Amino acid sequence: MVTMQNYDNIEYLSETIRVCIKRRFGDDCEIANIALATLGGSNRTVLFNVVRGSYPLRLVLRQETVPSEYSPFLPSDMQYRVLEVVYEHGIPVPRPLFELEAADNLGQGYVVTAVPGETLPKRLINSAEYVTMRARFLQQSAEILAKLHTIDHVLVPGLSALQESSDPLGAQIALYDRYGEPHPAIEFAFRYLAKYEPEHGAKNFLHGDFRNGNMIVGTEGIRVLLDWECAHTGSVMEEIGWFCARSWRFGRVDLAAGGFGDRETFYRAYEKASGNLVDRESSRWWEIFGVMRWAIYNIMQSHGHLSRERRSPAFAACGRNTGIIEYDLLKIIAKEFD
Amino acid sequence: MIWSARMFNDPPNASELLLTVREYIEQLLPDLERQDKYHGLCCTYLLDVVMRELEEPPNIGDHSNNALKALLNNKDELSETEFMSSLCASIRRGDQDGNLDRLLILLTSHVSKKVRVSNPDYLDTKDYL
Repeated sequence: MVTMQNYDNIEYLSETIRVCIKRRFGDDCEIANIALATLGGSNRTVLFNVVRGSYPLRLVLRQETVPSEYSPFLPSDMQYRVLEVVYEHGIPVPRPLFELEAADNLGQGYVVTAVPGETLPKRLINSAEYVTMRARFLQQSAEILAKLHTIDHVLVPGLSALQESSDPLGAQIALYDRYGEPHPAIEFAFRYLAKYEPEHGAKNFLHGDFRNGNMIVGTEGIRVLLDWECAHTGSVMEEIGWFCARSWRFGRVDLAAGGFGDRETFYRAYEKASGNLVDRESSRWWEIFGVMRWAIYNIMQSHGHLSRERRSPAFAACGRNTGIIEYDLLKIIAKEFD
Repeated sequence: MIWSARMFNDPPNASELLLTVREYIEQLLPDLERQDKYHGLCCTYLLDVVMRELEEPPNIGDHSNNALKALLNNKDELSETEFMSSLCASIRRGDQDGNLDRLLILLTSHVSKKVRVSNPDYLDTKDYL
């Protein structure tokens, strides 16, 4: 049986990936430079070169790491379909190559092309190399979102049937309830959000986790969007609010739009690119929703650590990070934080 | 003063032991690759949290906790977890809907107590005191 412990063994992983690649690309190719990248919220990311002749091709294996019955994330077959659809529509994403099969002995997942560049949010916001690019990142984010939101979500079967699509607040309450951990500040936010919930209008195709940290950039701008495991359908204000949530400013709380710029500049860029007005009030409601959601995701990661499903110092830190996010949440509701 | 550590052990005390581990990890950090460096930094953060938790007087925040308990009007002796669960259930049922402004202040004080341990620099001055 394949276990997560097997996957942590780099030699076992290398050999299994070697067999997986040779099955598809032939015996004359080799695997080199294998590296485990960030263990993200739902997927393990493994980078490797496929070498045939003198032309190495850098690829990325994305492996599902959260047992699906407890996961709020899309199963990897749906993630792959999302990637195929958005790639076909010209959204900048790593090119999807193939899905894993049972014979690969690598569990659930898929392989895409690797894209070089920077992902660290603090570096995007603070480093001298990117400081003049912030306005460009902001503009591009608005344009990419406007394009994404026009894609017909029916192309990904099951996307609109997710609870995150039909009942976003209920989906978060259900996720929180799974962990049985009492957080009165989060309960307060549930109550507040239910009381002031706006009309959500039409349901569009959403990335679901579009923010600083989930993109690869270069000095010319955004190269690709990553981490599509939260895709669902919903109000575009949800996506705009999530992008502006306080949690994604990484120390630059004055730059509300993802740490890249101010809200109005972002709203106007989105309005120009999409031809649709941004509902400011609704977007701010979704910012509060987003901070609440981020607090629950930190509880989830801490539980993953404590249950030994996915053990790491970062996931342990998530448990203690929850209170800091709750603090943001309450101060925003009190209008003491913007 | 360390409140929760037992005092009859030989030195170094618990905080000094944690600090020793922290200093060693800090020495390693410059030579670590990106992913290991990230987890190493997380470890130093976690050690800082434990050190603050050991040093935190246990009665900090009792005022807001007592005020929250008064909201429930519950005379039973509840453990901290039972009390928090009761409070959550009460908020979920809407029992506190007439009291949300007061509840927001008390919860901010309750959460600030946690942040004093996890990241005290993050707190507004008025929530720190």
